[in-house]
Formats: sequence, C-alpha cells, structure tokens
Amino acid sequence: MMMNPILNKELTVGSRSIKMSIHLMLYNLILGGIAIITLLILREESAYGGADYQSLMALFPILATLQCFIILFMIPVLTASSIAGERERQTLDVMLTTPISAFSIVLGKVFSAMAQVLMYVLSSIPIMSLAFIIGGMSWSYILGFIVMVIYASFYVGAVGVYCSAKKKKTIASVISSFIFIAASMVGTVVGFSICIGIIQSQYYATYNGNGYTGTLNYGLTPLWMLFNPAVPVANYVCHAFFGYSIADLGASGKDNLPASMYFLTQHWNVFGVIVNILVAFWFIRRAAKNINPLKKVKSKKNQG
Amino acid sequence: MLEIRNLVKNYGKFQALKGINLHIERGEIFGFIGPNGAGKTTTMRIVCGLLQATAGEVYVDGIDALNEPNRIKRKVGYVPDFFGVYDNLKVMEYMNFFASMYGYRPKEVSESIHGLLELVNLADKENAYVDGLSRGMKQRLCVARALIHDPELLVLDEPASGLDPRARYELKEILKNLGDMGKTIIISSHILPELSEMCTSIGVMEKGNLIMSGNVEEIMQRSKGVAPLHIEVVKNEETAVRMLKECPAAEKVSIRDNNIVVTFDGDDLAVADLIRQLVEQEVGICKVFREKGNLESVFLEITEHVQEGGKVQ
Repeated sequence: MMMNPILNKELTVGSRSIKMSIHLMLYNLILGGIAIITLLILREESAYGGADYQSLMALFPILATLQCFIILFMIPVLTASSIAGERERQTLDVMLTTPISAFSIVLGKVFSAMAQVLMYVLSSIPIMSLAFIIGGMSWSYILGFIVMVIYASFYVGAVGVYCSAKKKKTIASVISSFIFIAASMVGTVVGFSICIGIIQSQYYATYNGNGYTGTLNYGLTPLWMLFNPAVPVANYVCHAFFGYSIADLGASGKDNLPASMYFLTQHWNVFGVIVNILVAFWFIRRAAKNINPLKKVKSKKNQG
Repeated sequence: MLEIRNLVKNYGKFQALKGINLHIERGEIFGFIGPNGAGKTTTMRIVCGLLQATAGEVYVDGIDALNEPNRIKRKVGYVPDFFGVYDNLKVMEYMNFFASMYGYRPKEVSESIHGLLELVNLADKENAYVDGLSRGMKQRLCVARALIHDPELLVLDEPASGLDPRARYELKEILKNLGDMGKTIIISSHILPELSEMCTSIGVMEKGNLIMSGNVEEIMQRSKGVAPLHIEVVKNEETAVRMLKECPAAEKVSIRDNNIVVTFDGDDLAVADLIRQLVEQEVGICKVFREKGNLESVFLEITEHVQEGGKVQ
C-alpha cells in the first residue's frame, strides 16, 4: 500500500525543518524541568521521613494537560496554512490537476499535522515513563493516553484543515479554527448546563412542602457532551489518575437517566470517540468539497 | 486532440468566455494571444479541470473533459504562470512527490525522471534544493513535472513571464523539442515574437471571444497588409506624398530616412498598381519594400478592429 503522497512529502519537509527540532528540544526541556523539580521535592521529603513516590504519578496529569494544550494550540497553527499556503504558492492547482482526490489531499494534511504532534508526544515518553517507573502507574494508561492524543489531534486537525480550505488567509484560518474548537468544547458545556438547569428547576418546582411530586429525569441531555471532543480525553485522564469517570457519574445517577443514556455513560469513550471521529470526517469532506474546483459539476451530474 | 465547442464561462454577471470554438490537432503547438482578461487562462483552466464551465463542450482526445475530469487528468499536463516552491525539498524528491500523485512508486519512475531532468537540462541538479534554483530552472523543472505522467496535451500558462532572455530561450528550445516529440502544446504568452517562432498555430482572444485562430503562416500572411510600405523616391517626392495622402488605402504617410513610409492596406497587386500610378506621375522610385510582418502588428490590428466594433474574418 502506498503512503499518502502529501503526508510523505510533509514528513520529508518537516523532518528537515530546524524549527521543529528547536521546538521539540524546548518542549522536552520544559517537561524535563517539571520532572526534575518533582524528583527534587521527593528527595527533600525523604530527608524528613519517608518519600511518597506515588506522587510522581502527578506527572501524568500535568504532562497530559500539556499535551492537550499542544494539540489545541499547535494543530490549528500547523493546519491553518496547510491549504491556504498551497493556494498562495499556487501548488494546489497543480495538485488538483493530478489524479489524487481532494479528499486525499485534505486527509494528507490532517495526517501530517497529527504526525508532528505525535512526535512531541513520543519524544516525551521517556519523561512520562517516570510516572510508571517510579510512580507505579501502569504502562497501559500511557499507551491509552497516546491513543487519545491521536484521536484529539485528528479532530482538531480536521477542523483546522477545514478552516484552512474555507479561508483564504492564514490568520483568518487560525482564528476560525479556535472559534470552532471553542464552540465545540464550551458550547456543548453551556448547552448541557442550560438543559440540566431547566430540568432541575422544573423538578424543584414540584416541591409541595412534603416532598417532590415529580421525577428527576435528565432524558437525552448527556448527548450534548457526546459532541464535546475533549470529554473522552478528560474522562480517560480522570479515570487513569483519579480513578473516577463518567461511568461512575452515570452509575450514581442511574435512577435519573433513561436506560439508553445510562448505557452511554458506561461506554462513554467508545461512543464519544466514534461520534467525534465522524464529525471530523464531516469536516474533512467539507474541506475536500471546498477545494474541489468541479464540485458543482459533480452535484449536477448526481442530480441528473 | 482538443475540441472546444461554444464554451461559456460566467463569473456572476461578467461573461469571461462568450462561446468560444477551437480545434487543435494532435502534435500542434498552439499559441494563445490576448491582453490580460481576454479569457486565455480561463480557457486553459477549464481544459485542465481547474475551473467549471458555465456551458459548452470540451473534448480532450475524444474524452468529455467537463463530465469526466478524472479521465483527462492523465492526458493533460499543466504548467501555471507561477512556480510554487516547497522549502526543504530536493529536485528529485519534488519529482517523486508528483510521480506518487499519479500513483507511481519512486523506483518505477526513477529512470523516466532522470530522462525528464535531462530533457530540461537539470540532470546535474537532482540533489539541489528546489527553492535554491533560479527562476528559469524552476520553470523548467515545472515543465518536467508536468511531463511526469507522459501527457498527450501540455498546457502552459504564461510560462515565460518573469524569465530573463536566456531562460526564455532555453524554455523555448525545450518546448520545440517537445513539439518534435509529438506532444500537443497549448501555450499562452505576452511575448508574441517568441510564439510566432515556436507555434504551428495561434488563436487571438479578446474580451472572451476567440477572434481569430489558424495556422501561423496564414496569419502572418495577413501581416503583409498591415506592415508599413517603404518607398525610396529620388524624384518628385512632394508629388508622391500628395498622391499617397489622397489614396484611400493609404493611412499614415511619413518620411523616415529619405524613405516615404506608408501604412497601406492592400495586397501585392494593389501595391503594384500604386507604384504604376506614381511612376505615371513621373515620381522617381528606386526601391519599394514592405517591413517584415510580425505577430505583434497582426495582433494590434485585430484587437484594434474589435475595439472599433469591426468584424474579423
């Protein structure tokens, strides 16, 4: 099977970039610094009695949060010029005269942004390993976290490339990417909170002095959060580090949820990841349609 | 090789192409002439599948380009007027990248890429970075890239723009070689003399219309009626000037280097008749010749006619 030509080219070009090497070095210096400070604190503690080596596990959520910030802020910047830059260089036209589909071009751009982020994550594994070597955390959690990073970078990359295909200027593309991502993360939380607030106020209104006459049923409200791409990642990190997840939340509120929603809470990450990957594919398809110069011809043909 | 029928392209209310018809035979080098905004690039982009036509038909080697754009992609090679550069990419990698876009593996096309780089005189630059090449070299590389899938039709949009004379000459030689190899080439350029040297046929576009197309020799024949006539007079010059000013076929009469220079709209027989009349009035003529015709004068004459609302045959 042949590798996506766009991804192949981007990897070749990216690997030669001095900027990339400097950024990787700075990133690992910051992570290394955090790890060293944690170890120094432990040494100090051991001087006054026993050291709590499990506190090194705290490195995991710190690094996980950092990786998530990288995904959130770096990918939109990386992908903003992906299509807009090809347009500016007039190389997009040349690409579109080849048999490669617009979808493959867009997918190649998303994959190359993901590959760059993955390099950051993989380069930080030796530092993250302190959490399981000394802190006692399981390997599987770190591997699972890498899978989550891949998922999140695919989503953010898809949004970034969509905005790049939609906007002509790179800066407009970056801004609209941030707006889209913020809307998907904050907007779903706001929608979810409003629905919860309405349902709870309706329930509290049934109080007649002796008790509540109504029943508290959240209905399909959890679906709001299903469209929040950050929830599966947050859920995973919380489960790995704090041992508490949406499944526990669902179990505690089982009586107030329909059976389908309870089932959803018990398998949140599976559904959450699937739904958001489908949303990401929708963005990729829209981006591909946007760069395809003959999109209207196809639609006419389909109609005919 | 290329058949265009009633091609129309509208941008909102603006009509960029007003129903053009064009036929280009296999192996021809066709030159597109026209001022900016005439519709040359629009036509070329439609042929390459980069722009949707509003109406009309385009056939490349018998394939309906408007309804089957994916099929013509293997038949057409496109060179835009601007060469985009990828930083940190070597010439060979650049060629391999585009080869992979056509589904070829680097090993499969290694030899043909070497051949193409030799064709465009870049064989010694295989390991050079693309962004370090001169503009002329980049444009030649772009031609090699457009040939990577061995297309039957090569479309070049202003390939010589911004190139120095040496680079233009080299590009012209490469295109001539490609013509000799049997490739059908469509090229647009503002540098008209170069087109006339290189092309076998040309088309003149103006305001979305193809106002004239045909064999270069036929069109150059037209220039005989456009190029100024030089008459070297040794006796009765004043009479000659007066007679020429009164002649309806003569437009501009001037005296340059002891020659009477006149823009005379007429064929060789009309010139002979004019000289006979001058001689009858005892004008001493020792030499008569036409300035060598060129594409530029034909183009200016045609576009002037169109601007004045005249029709071009």
